[in-house]
Amino acid sequence: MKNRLRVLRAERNWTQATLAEQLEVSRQTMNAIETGKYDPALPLAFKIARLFGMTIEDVFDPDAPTT
Amino acid sequence: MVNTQNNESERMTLWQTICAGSGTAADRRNQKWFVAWTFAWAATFVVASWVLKNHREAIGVGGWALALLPNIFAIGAMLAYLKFLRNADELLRRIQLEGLAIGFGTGIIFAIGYQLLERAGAPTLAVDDFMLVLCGGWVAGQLTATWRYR
Repeated sequence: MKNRLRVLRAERNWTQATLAEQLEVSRQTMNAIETGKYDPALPLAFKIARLFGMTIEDVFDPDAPTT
Repeated sequence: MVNTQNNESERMTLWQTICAGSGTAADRRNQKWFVAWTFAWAATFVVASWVLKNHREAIGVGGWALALLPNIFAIGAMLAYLKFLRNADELLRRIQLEGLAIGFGTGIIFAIGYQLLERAGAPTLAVDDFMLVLCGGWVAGQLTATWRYR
């Protein structure tokens, strides 16, 4: 699934490690989600969306194919 | 323009991933407990095995207790692994699950498939050899899953 995580993170000048720490996940998990290799479970997707002050649909796009 | 690279490579190498350690600090702490119990199991197994081989008559019925002693640490290792898995970071849990699936699958295929090879003339293997294949498959499965999600 495609997502806007990299852009949202970069807009805030956060590193993957910073974001991972805030979400209480590993940097590997953050990296895998960002690159579209791994889709997070619903609780983590909600946590991500809330952290950016958005809805899940604003962060993740289930219709767009992963590049 | 937003710098999406943010001074980090987009893709972590397998080596980076292994060095960074999969999972969170809590996962690494739980993993250390699992490793500690496993080492204790291995150490007591080696000691018990040596004593039972060389001094079985001297210890008498205590041999039964000694033979069962490593299992306490084995159960400890199993419970530590369960705790690690239940509390693991969700990607790490998936990696472990894939590792277990590949390890279990490899072990079963080898154990069943080798029976036919034995009938065809291959040397008879001990249970330990099948366990080695199973554990090797588990490690290989974890590495391939880590590589896939790097």
